Amino acid sequence: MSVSDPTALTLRQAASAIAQGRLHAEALVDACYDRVERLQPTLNCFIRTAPDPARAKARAADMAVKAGRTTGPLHGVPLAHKDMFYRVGEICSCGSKIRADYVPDHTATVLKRLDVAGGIELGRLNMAEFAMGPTGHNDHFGRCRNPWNPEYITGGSSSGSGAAVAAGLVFGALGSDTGGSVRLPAAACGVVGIKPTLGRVSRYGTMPLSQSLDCVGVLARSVGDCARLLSVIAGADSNDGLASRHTVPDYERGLDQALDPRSLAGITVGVPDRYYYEGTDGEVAGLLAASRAIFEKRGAKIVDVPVGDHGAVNDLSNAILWPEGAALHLSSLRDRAHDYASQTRARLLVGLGVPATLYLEATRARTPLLEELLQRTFSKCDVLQVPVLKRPVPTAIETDVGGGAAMQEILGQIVANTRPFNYFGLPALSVPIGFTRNGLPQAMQLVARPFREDVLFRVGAAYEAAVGGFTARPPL
Amino acid sequence: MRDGIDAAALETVLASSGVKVTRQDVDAVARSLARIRDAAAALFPSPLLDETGERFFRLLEGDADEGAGR
Repeated sequence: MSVSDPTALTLRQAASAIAQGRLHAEALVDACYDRVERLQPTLNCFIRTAPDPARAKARAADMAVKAGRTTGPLHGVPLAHKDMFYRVGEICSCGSKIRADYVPDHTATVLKRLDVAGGIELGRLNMAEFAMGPTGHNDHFGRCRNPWNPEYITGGSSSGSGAAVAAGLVFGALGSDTGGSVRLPAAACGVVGIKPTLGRVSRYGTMPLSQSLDCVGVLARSVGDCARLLSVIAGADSNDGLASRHTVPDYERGLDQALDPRSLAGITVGVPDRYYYEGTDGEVAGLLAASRAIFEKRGAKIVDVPVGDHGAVNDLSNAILWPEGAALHLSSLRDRAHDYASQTRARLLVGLGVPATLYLEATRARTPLLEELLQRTFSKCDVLQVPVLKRPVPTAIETDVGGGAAMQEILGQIVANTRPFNYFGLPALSVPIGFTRNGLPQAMQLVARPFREDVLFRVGAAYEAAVGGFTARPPL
Repeated sequence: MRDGIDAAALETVLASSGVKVTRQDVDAVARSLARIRDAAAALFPSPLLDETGERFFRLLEGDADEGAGR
């Protein structure tokens, strides 16, 4: 393994090199900061950096290796996170003006778990204001730009997470996903991203948007890297009553078998018979078809499967998301309305108009609708495959619509294929599948039954192995 | 009326929250509510008298437990 450019390694390769003493954590942190310094003016990924504590931790990590001790599976690995995960005593802006000086009094469980595993946090990443917005625009901190072409959107709301990982500034990043906010930036920036099952990861110490839909997820440059990060952060938490007690498997176990040419024997991939592919751009559809041909070569069976009216599910999720968000923001909407971006405010106002009975109906309807999906659809397949985006990644100008009448239409198109799986609470993995003619990445979304992230990683890793890994780097 | 929503009534509801809204805000919210209403009509064929939100979480966990035997 070459470590001539250590920022080009995957997270797992970097962790191994550090643990074996072939790469110093401090040198790796320095290399990452060099890239941050060079690329921040172009990409605007970071809201703030913390070089001194990061370098101190890296030196400690190197000393531990020298002494024959390692602290965990992320020992010495540079990470950075969306600026909505609380760390006691440190500003957490949530991408907003309203929380520009907010200093939490507690630390997120996910950050504690990453710390224990040995990860080194380089700083805080850009995001949509209060995690509302699927494009990467931010009126307060400036737009985060796509490493493949700065004129294009990064996707959001975890915009900095997608761009920083793709640009090789860090090896992995936390994001949050309430309607697609991990999967969309992963797809638009050409990295892997997972939204786990609702409840799989503790949300203690993370900025809430919608308790019924919010998930903490991760972005990294390979399927195995995401598997490692999820293994570290998933699991029960006494500080979060809604975090599942379901056993966390070692998601990396068995991923080596992805290299087997028949690694998907026994797996059935379902292609929904309606909604998700309707209106999909021809170029995108072609990339998805090519990825299914790879699945078949690896031994998977491809079948068409029935799904319900998921277009209506997409719209209905607004009856949960916005009332829950508006309730959290009510005080600030009254007193500091001018400190919200127009688009953020406009979306929250929808929540004030949803009748309580409709909110409750939408919440209760999740059970029969999920039952139907499990019985009708997942009885016929192990994973669903759908596009993340139905069209090539748009430019920033195309999506710069403010809070006016066009906003809901354009933003609705972007989240059309991601939001239903937040409503259902199901795990979903975004995996790169190539590039469209505009030079921007495209991705497939793999979806599984509850708590079957292991199946998603198995299928994603098999695809990744078949195409020789996601080795292309943005022209930076 | 806006998209079948009584805009004046909606404006009253929004204003009762204590948040200042404009007519443009009300129109935008009415459009969104109309879509949500249509979705609900398509997805709620019958009353769900015995359905509770809690059962959704049990279904998620229960499906995973059953998965071991699938």
